[in-house]
Order: sequence, then structure tokens, then C-alpha cells
Amino acid sequence: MSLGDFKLLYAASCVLLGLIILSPTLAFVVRLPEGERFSELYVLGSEHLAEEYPFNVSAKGVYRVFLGVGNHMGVLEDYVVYVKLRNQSDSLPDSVNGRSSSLEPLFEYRVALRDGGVWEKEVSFSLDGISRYGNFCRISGLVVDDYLVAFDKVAAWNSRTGGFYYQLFFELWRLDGTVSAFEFHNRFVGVWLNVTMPT
Amino acid sequence: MMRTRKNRIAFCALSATILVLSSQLSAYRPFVYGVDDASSKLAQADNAVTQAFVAVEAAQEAGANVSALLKEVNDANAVLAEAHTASRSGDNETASLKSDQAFNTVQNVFSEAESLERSAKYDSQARLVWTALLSSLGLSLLFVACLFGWRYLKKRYVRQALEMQPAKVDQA
Repeated sequence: MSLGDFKLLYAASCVLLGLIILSPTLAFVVRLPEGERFSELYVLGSEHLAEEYPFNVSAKGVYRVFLGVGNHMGVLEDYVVYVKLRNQSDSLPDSVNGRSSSLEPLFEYRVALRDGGVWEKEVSFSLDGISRYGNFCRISGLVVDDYLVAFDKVAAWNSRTGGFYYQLFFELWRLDGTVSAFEFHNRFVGVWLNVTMPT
Repeated sequence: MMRTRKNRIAFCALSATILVLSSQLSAYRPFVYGVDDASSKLAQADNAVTQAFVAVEAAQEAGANVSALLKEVNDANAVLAEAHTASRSGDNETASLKSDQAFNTVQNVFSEAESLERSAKYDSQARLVWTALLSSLGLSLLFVACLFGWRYLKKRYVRQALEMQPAKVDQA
């Protein structure tokens, strides 16, 4: 090895050592690029799996699903999950334009989560006041976590699949700190329910 | 005569009793929670919980440990959700009571979060100053060590080069 090459190697080693010594200070100043930021919203069946979701429901039954929210936004987040019920003709959230469903929420959950935090809740629900007249079915109440919410929702008989279909769905909203208001976070999940009449 | 006087006294006593009772009864009005009362309390609680959350978020950004405060915010969040659901169902009494409960839960969170944020910022600044100082000291020492090291290594390199025996060349 020539003296010039040896000098270069020595200088490079010194610079490397210098960077190692500087690294704690650099960590305060330099921000490394972070991964994708997102929130997760999921619903699992009664066995805590993505199966065994309640489908055929009647007035007598109490059904349960697991609702979860995960924060991967890199910061602390405040969320609201709105519980809504729709029939087949009611609107769903518009995920293309990021608009929530126009339906009024029946119930809600609120939770503040730190980055990487996951919140999960066992949601039990039952339908109250189911009645049928002709080709229509009416529900007049939903009991969520032992809390009765009165409303009136009618579904028409679906002759193609043979049933009265409702969808219980959950919308995720997050607090926008700049305007101090909750905005739809463009995430929703739901379970279809086929309402059967008591015999 | 006596009988009439007794009757008058009894009549006066009865009138006085009725007057006292009616004044007491008119003073008693059962408190009924109105829609406006519930709405304003709900808005107040919403605002308080949001402010508390924003303060906790700022404290966490500054590097403070906000686990305890976050728990309080979540306690308030749970009660506030119940208040909103009750309000939508028209149960103004429950909505008012739950709003008050949520408001009271986060009442001290805002000031505590601000205090935590201040101390976390101060700690962070102090840590930065100390780290920068130690790094500067380390760099200075490294610079001096590298200079002396280079002089030593260069000398050694030259000495080794001079001590090398020239290779014999066979001229036959």
C-alpha cells in the first residue's frame, strides 16, 4: 500500500469515527423519513376471527362482534366510531370522495390512541321491536351494549335473495386538531344482517 | 259567643297554614333538563375534552410521558360518547349529567398537560445542549488524536519502508 492510499484510509476512518461521535446530536436534528401513515378499523366475528359474523338475526337474539381501531399515524389521535344501521336503499359512505354516510349515528365510541396503539371492544347488539307488514319489515330499536336506541327503519323484502336485509356499519372519524372538529377518516366496516321473524 | 271566637281562631290558624303551605309549594319547582341546557353542556364538554386532548398531544410531542393524562382523556371520552348517544335519543337529563361528568374528568388535564409539556421541553433542551457539548468535546479529542496518530503512523510507515531489503536480481 502506498503512503497516499494509507493516508486516505486513515482519513476515512477518522471521518467515520467523527460521525459516530456526532450521531447522538444528529438524532436530535435529523428526521428520518417515516413509513406510511394510516388508521385501521376492523370488525371480527364472535370467535374473534374474520368469520362467524352474525347474519340471520331475530328479536330474541343477542349478537356480538369485535370492533377494533389501530393508530399508525405517527402521532396521538382522537377517534370516534359511529354505529349506523342502513337498509339496502340507504346510502353508504362515499370512499371515493371521502364522504360519510348521511345517516344519523345510533351509537358511538370515542377513544384517544397513541401511535401504534390498538383499541378493541366487544360490541353486543340486539334488535328491538321487529314487525312485519306485507313485504316490509320494521325495526324500532337497537340495543347496543345494553343501551336501547329508539329509531324507525324499514326494509323491503329482497325477492332475489329472500330476506329483509340491514347493514350494521361502523364509520371511523378522527379529530382534526387544526379546526378542533372530527372529520370522516374514510374508513368503514360493516356486517349484513338478515332479519328473521319470530315464530 | 265563646264558640264563635274559637271558630274564628281555628279559621285563622287554618288560613295561616294554607298560606304557608301554598307559599312553600309555589317555591318548589321540579328541575327539568331542557334541550338547550343539554346541548350547551354537551358543547362545553366537547370543547373541554378536545382542548384536553390537544394539550396532551402537544405534551407528548414535546417528549412527556402522558400515559396517566391519556387515561383521563379516554375516561372522559367514554362518558362523552354516552352523553352524545343519550342526547340523540332525547334523554336530556342523562346527556346533561354525563356531559358534566366528562367535563369534570378533564378539568385538570389541560393545566397538567401544559406543565408536563413545559418541563419536557426544558428537559429536551437541556439534553440537546449536553449532547452537543459532549459531541463537540469528543470531536475535538478525536481531531487531536487523529493528528498525533497520523504523525506516529507516518513515521512507522517510513521506518518500515527504509528497513526493507532490496530484492536480489539474478543476472546470470
